Amino acid sequence: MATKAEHVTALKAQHPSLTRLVNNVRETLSPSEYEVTIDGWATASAATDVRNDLKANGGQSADYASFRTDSMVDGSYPSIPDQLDKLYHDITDGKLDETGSWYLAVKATKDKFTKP
Amino acid sequence: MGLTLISTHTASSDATLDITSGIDSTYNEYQFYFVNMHPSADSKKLRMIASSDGGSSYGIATTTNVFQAYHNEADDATSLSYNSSTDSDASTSEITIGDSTGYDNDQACSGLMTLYAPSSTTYVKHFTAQIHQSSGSDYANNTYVAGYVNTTSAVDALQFSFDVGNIDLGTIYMYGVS
Repeated sequence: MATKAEHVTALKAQHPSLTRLVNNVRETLSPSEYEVTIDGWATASAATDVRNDLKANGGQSADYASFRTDSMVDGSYPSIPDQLDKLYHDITDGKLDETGSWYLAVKATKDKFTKP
Repeated sequence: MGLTLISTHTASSDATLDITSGIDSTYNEYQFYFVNMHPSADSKKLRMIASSDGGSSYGIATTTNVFQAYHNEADDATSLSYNSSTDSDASTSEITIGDSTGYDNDQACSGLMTLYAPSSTTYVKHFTAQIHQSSGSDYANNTYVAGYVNTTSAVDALQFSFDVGNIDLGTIYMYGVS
């Protein structure tokens, strides 16, 4: 996971200058505009690194709810139909407690993505 | 209803694409068609920010809601859900109108954003966007955004960009609706 400073270095190497297209006229960003843009990109890249690390490995995050509910994230809550199916089987098996499949599935998500 | 093409803008390795001309009181509705917006880095978000001074400055507080539908190539993930990590609450920074777009040579995002009554001096400026991305993780990802630019001043310029890297390629067609 790269730091913001490392991202700045990499982005500057990749983009030694930057342009914008204004009404189809291409302009080169001024030095200060360039620095602001690279800083913004590096900030976003570092934040993405943190988010991707959390997605993969879990952990504490103020954004825990979005990890738990984003079905693109491994370890997020099962879909509602899957949760209802687990509840059906848990009731059938007399396991409507902490040993049931629904409880364990939800607990696994809560344990992976925790509140600060 | 008729559409009048006002301008065509094709980015090529540009950090931003700015439209500072033609957004005025001529039409009560403007449509922006995004065709194959391709980021220079993987899994980047298409963003928009508004100006009320012709593009001299950007950053009017903007609030949005976002929901998505997606389905992946492996056919093992589908969803229709609210995206709380992408919405904006009175943000003066760029707001997301299209989520994670892949940068493989055949990946991009395309879609439509509608801006209503940008010259109104009575109401906030409503907009809706529906952008489809071929995502970096090989999903067909449809992002639906609605929101408002919280100003009663006329909005007369918009800037589009990805959250990291250049708009490698992509065309925006701006239409007036009459």
